[in-house]
Amino acid sequence: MAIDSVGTLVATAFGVALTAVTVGALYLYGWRKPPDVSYTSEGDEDRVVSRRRGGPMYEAEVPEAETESVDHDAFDPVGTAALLLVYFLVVGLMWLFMYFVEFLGNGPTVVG
Amino acid sequence: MHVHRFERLWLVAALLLIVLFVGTVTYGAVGAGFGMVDAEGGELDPTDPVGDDGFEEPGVYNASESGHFDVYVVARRFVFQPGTNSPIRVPVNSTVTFHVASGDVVHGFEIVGTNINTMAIPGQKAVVTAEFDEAGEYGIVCNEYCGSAHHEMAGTLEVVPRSAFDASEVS
Repeated sequence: MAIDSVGTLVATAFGVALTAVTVGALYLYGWRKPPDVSYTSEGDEDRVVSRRRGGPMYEAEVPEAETESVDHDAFDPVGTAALLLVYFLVVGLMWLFMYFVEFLGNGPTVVG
Repeated sequence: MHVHRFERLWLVAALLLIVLFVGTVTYGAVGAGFGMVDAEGGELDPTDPVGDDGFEEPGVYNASESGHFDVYVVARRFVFQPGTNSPIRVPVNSTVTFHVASGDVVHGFEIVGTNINTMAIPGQKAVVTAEFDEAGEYGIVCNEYCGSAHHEMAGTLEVVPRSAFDASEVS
C-alpha cells in the first residue's frame, strides 16, 4: 500500500514535471513566435503590417489563393464514399451479429 | 431534381440497410418462429388480480398436450410464487407456458440469460411460451423496481432430466 502510494506520487510528479517542460518548450520554440516585449511606434500602418511577425492581421491583406473549381458532377468524393461504405458494412455486420448471435442465439426464447 | 450519382449510391445503400433490418426481424418472427410477448393473456379482475384463472394455487400444471406445461406464477413484493421459496421445476424437452400475474405492484419476470422476459402488470396476465431443450438451472429476477427489497426478489427455474422429474409435483 505504502509503496503503491509512493509510486503513484513519483509518477504524478514526473508527469506534472514532464507536462511543464513540454508546455514550456512549446512556448519557447513552438509554432508561434513569442510576442513583442514592448510596443514601439513605427510610423504608418502599412509598414507595421509588413513587418509584423505574426502574419497579416486583416483579411484584405491575405493574398488571393489560386483555387480550382470543378463542376458538380465532376466532383467525386471517393474518400467520403469509401468511408460511408465502411460505416454501412460495420452497421450491417453489427446488426447481423446482434440479431442472430446475441438475440436469436440467446438460449431458450419466447416462441409464442 | 439533379442528384449526384454518389448521393444516389448511398441513398440506395441506406434503403438496403432498412430492408435488411426489417427483413431479419421478419425472418425471426415468420421463418424461425420466434415470438414476442403480446396481449394474449388478457385482463384479470382488477380488484382481485390473482383470485382467479389458475392463480389461486400457483404452480406447475400439465397442459392439454403431453410435454407441455403451464406454470402459474404470482409476483408479489418480494417473492415469485413459486420460484423464490421453492424452485419452479420442469422436465427437459418440454414446452412451458408461463402465466405471470402481479399481486400488488408492477414486477418483472426475467429468466436470466434467456430471451424470456416480461412485465407483470397488476390486472394483466402475461403469457409467454418457451421450449427448454437442455437441462439446467436458471435464475429468475424481477427487473422492474418494485420497492425496498426489489434487489432481493429472485427465484429459480430448474430444468431437470426426465428421469429426475417428479411428475407428482405437477397437478
